[in-house]
Amino acid sequence: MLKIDNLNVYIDNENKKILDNFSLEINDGEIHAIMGKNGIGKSTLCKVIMGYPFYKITGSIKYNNVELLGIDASEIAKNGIMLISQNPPSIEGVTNAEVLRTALREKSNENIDIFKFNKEMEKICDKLCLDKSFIHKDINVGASGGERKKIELLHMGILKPSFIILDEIDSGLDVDALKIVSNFINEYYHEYKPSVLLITHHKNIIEYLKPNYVHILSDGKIIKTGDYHLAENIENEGFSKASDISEK
Amino acid sequence: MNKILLDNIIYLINQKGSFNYEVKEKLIINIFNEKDKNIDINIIQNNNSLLIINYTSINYEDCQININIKIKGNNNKCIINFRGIACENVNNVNVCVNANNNTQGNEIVENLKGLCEDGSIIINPILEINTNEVSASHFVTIGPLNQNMILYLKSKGISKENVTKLLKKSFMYNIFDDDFISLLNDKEENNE
Repeated sequence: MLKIDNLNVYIDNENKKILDNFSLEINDGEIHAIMGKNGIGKSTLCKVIMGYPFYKITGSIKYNNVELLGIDASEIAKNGIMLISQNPPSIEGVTNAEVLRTALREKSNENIDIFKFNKEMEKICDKLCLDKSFIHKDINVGASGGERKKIELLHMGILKPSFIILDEIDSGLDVDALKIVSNFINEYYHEYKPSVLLITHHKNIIEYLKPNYVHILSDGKIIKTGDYHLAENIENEGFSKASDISEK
Repeated sequence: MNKILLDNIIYLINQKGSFNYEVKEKLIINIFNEKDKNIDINIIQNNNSLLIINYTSINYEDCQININIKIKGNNNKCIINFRGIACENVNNVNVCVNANNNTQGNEIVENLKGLCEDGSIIINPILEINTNEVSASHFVTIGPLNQNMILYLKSKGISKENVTKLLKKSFMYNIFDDDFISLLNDKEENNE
């Protein structure tokens, strides 16, 4: 379970408060979606959970009773949490295979069966309709926006996190790519039953993933919670009328 | 280890001292230095020649690197790629390309990058151009490892130590061809 209690987040060295006494509980196997206007703090929430160091923070974030605040990002990842970045960087000279082998070796402290590893990578590429050449290519170098999202999901498929943060995984995807990506996430969910925190602006991916809860973030906190029908109501009414919108 | 392969590619690992060459048609020099060796390279290009120097240096003690190229004739191409990592030391790097008076059609590129890891690196990119008929450019960047890349890799569950190794290796090896990278990897395996 992920438990966020009275989280206050400021941009470091500034007095700008991004999250204001923010609280949220995500039980094992639940899918929660957070929607809200641009610049409201959704991605900040993702980065704070993941231990990114640029913020001044008070409050608590616990995953399976382990306090995450103050812990390094690599340790948070080893606890089973994975952030699928909105804008993953390109890293020349470091291939996807190399990163994943290094991560797996650290996780298990054992040597990797390279044949099985490569086979698994290829299988995931097929499911994602991602060219297999990306396996041994430098991370995101020459990759389109859609391909970068799929590469992140390739990483997810190999590293098998138990808590997944999807930060606008749907942005920039065409209709076919969105279907492929959603099907992959659904398949992973049904096999491994992770908890999922989905950040999105649009109802389309919510229709595919059918989250248990949809929350609207405004003024640093959750102002409304409903089921996935809330997303459609938001699409029709807009965020400015969020407080009046029906949750169902 | 010092290996010379083919007619126009030289691979040098941990060499010190002074190297003087005159380029005939084409010369590619790949240099890997992790033993704090001072080095002076002096090269002359006459006419219609291609020179590429790919130099990577990772040093733990103070180190002086001088690369001097003299272009005496026409229609030459000179490309210098340098990657240096300073760990608890000072790296002094001078790269000087001189194009003579009355020369034409020459192209010069200095692409120099320094990474500071608890040390400092001073890079002097010098172009001595005595002609109007030349295309010359130099790029110098010096800084620490990219924080966004570090965070991204850590968020995959990779420790800071291994993230640093991955990024440093990519920084150093990126300019080399696959043959030289194989030589370096063999050397690494033999040392382990």
